[in-house]
Amino acid sequence: MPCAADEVGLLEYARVLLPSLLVIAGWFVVYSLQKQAALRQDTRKDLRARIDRLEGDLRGLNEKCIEYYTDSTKGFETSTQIKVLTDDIRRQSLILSKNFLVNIGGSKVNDGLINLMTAATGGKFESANRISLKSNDRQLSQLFQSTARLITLFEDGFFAAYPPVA
Amino acid sequence: MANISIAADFSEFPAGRIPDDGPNSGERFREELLVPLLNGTDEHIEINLDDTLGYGSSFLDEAFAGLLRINGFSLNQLKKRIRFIDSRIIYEPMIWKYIEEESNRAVRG
Repeated sequence: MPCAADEVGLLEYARVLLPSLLVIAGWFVVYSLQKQAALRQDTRKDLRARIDRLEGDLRGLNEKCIEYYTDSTKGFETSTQIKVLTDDIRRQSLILSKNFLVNIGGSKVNDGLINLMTAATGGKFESANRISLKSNDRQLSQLFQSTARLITLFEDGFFAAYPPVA
Repeated sequence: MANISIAADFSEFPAGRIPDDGPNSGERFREELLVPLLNGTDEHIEINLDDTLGYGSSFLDEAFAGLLRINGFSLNQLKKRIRFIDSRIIYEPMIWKYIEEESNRAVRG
């Protein structure tokens, strides 16, 4: 059975140790919060870079499609570049919507991609008897609209997940 | 079940709508591979879309929506018979969208 002297000893220990333990616990809380904030900042930065890259590829696709559709002499080389670009955009979009921005909804991304790919590689794409289109042709205008919708979708998703600091 | 791999049985570079557009057109794929299988058996057909250098919408529309437009198949017949393998995820919904649009056009006359 502990005697009164032991109890006094324990209280003395507690008086000495408790402040140190509280300081260590405080450090741990601050460290965890900082680690969480740093991780969030890294994820935000990574996501921003991915969205910027996607937007760059979408702009590249638009330029390549203008080049291809307004000049009927452009052949297999340009159409292949368009297919490679659309496939890269598809891959990046699906990675973003499945891993980073699940809040934007997979079906919206799928619909956006289908519209984009239909506009970029539909109609007389890879056709031997295609004629040069005007730059305000319906097919190109649909491509620009699909591009804008897809960018808006990802930008909205990004700012919903990481609102700008006021 | 019958299986077709577009890359292995047709071409890794499917492109174009009609044979004038090139040797690996959607029409040639439809007429030489798909239609004989659909007409020659009641089996399900599994079509592997992987391992090609992408698809143009023009190829997919001609190959699959053409089954309704040119060969007289119905949306229900195709839904019962055709399955896809598509690890790129997007081409299968594209194909069904084109088939459904063609079916709607046919219904509207």
